[in-house]
Amino acid sequence: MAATDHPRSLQQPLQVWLALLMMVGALAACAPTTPVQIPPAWQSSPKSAAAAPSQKPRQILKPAPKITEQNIPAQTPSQTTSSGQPPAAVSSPPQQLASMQLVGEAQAAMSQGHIDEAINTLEQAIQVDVYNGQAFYDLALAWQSKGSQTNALQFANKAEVLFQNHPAKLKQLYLLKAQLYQALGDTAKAQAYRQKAARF
Amino acid sequence: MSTKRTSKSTGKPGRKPGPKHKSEPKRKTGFPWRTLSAMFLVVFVLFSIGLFLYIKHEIEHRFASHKWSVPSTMYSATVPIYPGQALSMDQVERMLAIRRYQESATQTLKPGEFSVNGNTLQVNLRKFHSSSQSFPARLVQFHFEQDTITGITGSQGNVPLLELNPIELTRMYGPKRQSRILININNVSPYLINAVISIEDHLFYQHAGISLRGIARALWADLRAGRVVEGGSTITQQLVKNYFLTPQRTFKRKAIEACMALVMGTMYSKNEILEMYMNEVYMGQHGGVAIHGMGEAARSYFGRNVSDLSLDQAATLAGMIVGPNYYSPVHNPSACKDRRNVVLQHMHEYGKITAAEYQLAVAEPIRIAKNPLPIKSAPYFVDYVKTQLQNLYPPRVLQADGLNIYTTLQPDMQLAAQEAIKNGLAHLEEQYPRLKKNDPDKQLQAAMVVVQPATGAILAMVGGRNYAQSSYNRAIYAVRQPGSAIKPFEYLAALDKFTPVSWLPDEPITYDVAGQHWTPRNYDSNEYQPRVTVRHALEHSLNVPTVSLAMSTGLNKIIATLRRFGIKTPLEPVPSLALGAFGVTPLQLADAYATLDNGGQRPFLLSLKDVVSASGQVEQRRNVNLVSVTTPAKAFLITDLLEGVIKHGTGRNLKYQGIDFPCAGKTGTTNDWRDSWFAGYTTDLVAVVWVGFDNNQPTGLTGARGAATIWARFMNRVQPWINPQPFKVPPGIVQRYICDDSGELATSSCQDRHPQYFLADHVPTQYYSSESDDIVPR
Repeated sequence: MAATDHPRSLQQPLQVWLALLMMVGALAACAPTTPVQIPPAWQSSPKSAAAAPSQKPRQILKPAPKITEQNIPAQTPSQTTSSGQPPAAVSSPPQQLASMQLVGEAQAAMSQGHIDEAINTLEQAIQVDVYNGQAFYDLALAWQSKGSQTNALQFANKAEVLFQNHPAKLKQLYLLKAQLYQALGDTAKAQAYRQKAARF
Repeated sequence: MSTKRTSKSTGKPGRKPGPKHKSEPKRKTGFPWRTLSAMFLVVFVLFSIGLFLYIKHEIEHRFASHKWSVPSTMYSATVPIYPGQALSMDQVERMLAIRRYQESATQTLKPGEFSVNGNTLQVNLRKFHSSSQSFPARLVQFHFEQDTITGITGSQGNVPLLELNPIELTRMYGPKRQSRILININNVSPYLINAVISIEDHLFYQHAGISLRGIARALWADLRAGRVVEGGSTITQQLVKNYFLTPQRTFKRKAIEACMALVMGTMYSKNEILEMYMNEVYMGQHGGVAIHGMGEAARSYFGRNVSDLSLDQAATLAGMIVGPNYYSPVHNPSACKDRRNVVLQHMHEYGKITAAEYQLAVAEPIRIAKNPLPIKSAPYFVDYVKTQLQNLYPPRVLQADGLNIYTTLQPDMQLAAQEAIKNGLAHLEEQYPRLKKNDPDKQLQAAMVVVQPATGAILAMVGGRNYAQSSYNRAIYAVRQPGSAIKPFEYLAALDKFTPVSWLPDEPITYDVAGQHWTPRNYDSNEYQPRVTVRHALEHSLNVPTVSLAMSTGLNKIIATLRRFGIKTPLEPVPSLALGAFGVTPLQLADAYATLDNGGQRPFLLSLKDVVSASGQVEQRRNVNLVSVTTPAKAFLITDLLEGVIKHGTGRNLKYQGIDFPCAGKTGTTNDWRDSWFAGYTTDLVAVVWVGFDNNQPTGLTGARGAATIWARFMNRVQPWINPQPFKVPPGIVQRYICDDSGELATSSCQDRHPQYFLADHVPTQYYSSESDDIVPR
């Protein structure tokens, strides 16, 4: 018995580990292979479309399941890996990696108070990759620190388009836009952007 | 006083003459040598001091007021290169060649040289300055695989991004047309210093400005000849002569020269004098431009910075000083080589180089850099920037203060644009012989403007097919009718009222214009349909529906939209406005399309980026500046329609010309085919092309047959520098499936259906029904 007890005591943790591994494996298999898309603000389908009676009564067919109305379509891989992502991502396009190198240099310059140098470098980063949302965001920050809220707002607007699939960055951006609108005296818009940021 | 008193007393009679007899002979016979000598000495000393101070003042004044006239230099932008970029080894070699890099046979590379080893290209990059940064010389390796850079490595491992030095576009010379690059003696190759001293003044560091031994030798030679035949000048004397005096060989001038050299020797250190000499010395001609100084000579003859000269190159330059044009490596390589070897011999004799170095250098052939600036420096673009500079600086400053002017021009794209225009026009003339004109003034012309929409940087500009024949810059001055190329902005103005699937009438309608009837017709005036969608009308550039849309939108609203997009020329609210019957310049159209491409944010177009003084101070800086003129959603919707132009509209033939990446564009053709336009864009650049005759004669070319073919040539050449991506869908856009036949929301009973983008607040509301037979146009 003692001889059999001992292996049994070993088997139990082994089974637990195996079960755990299987669970992890199952979870991993269910996980999306591409980054999860956070849909943009919901655009309600026109209520009147189905409800509004036409001048002549006619049969309104329900849309077939595969062609139901949809909002912004699923992004292509190149879109989902917009430049808001960290540069270390293996699948990042080469121009994005190069551009993020410049963004890194600009951020270092900004942290040392060399704002003009940072702006110059960020403009180069945009030249290398026009979809580098982080570069536009940092440009907005740089111009804000130079006291030019109007310029900053323009770059923030650009970043907003490019951050659509990056909720964390979008939240930061909305807060920045709230600050910029506040500084420009548009409290209503500032409040609206604060509320947008609060949704995340 | 005491002497006078003595004299008076001794003149009286009756007095003893004793002492008088003794002193008189002295007064009568003795000359006051001492007094005179003393006086002469005093005068001489005073004169010398005065002369010294005068010369010193003159020298100081001359050097303080302005040492040298240095023309301002205009540069292109730097070009970024990174791993993963679709650049082949040939292309990188070509990029290096236009930057005057030379292929080396050895693996030991000097800055400015490269070598090829299998799939690896090794380059020793030159040191250079951009407007905000200094880039040191560095050795890097480019690794290639299948026409792509797979990696860049340097001394510290992988290099994620590299910037290639800008290209010199032009120099703004003064009336003397002197070209000079100022150098610092600390940056000069020791070979060059030793070579110059060995051949010109080997006792330079020993004497005080003049060499008595040298003068004696020259004097003896002059006396024997009966005229001045030999100078015997030291480097200091040569500097004085070159800088202050005339080149005439007279004894007077030699005397002044010697005096000034002595004074200068007390004022400046030897290295300062040598630096001035090396910056001043005349080193020959390049075309109509005089090369002054070793910095310019090193760059001009060898394509190198003065710090990077090899021994044989340094000796060549030193040997040229005595007769720059006779010993020119360009015009007289044989004499140049002989003279170089004399310099090397002197260096060896004076112990400046070893025997081995001497032997190696003597064996080197004379090799000069290839002709500088093969792209002839983007002349139309240069003119355009010069006009801006003239508003900022007086000509004297531009010609003499050595400003460094940095621009946005991308040299490789500029080359591609120039080639596309040249070859594209030649091809059109070959294809349609009626276009070929023998008179250069009447030749078919073209213009192109290339803009990066996100920054507003003008990357390339071509104002005509041949600058030498016509310097008229059509890209910025030619006001031509845009025709249908203006339609996208009208459709954008109409987006509050119309969707891409709204129906428009496609039947000829007569309009009353100031009491006159006007009936617009489609290009193919035989083909009309009862109605077409907005998308179809724009994709196929139909005139009749477009005029209808414009009239429905309101002409004043359209004019306001065009103004916001940068059209500055006069616009009248008449129906023909809808068909582009007004003037625009290619630059204005590029501005408008860049705004469309940039999500409705109009970029301030940049060509002049920074102006940096000779001392490194940034005097002017232009930053990226954007102004929102429409929403990103509206701009995207028009871009989506213009993608359709290329996929299945008037630009569909582009896919047979290598255009297989995401892009949008619009053709433009004017009455009687006088103007052929194409404005096309990807996510990262906009290129607008115009083709036509200056005298407004018909070309017979549509936008698709003329300008679009040149656009395609250009885009195929610049692919390594662009990364066309799908246009990003901005917030405020939704997608619906639409039934093609009805333009209504698709249902399962709909046979042909396609997804369609809409403004989120302007979406069709009705669903398709198979029974529907009374579809109401929206």
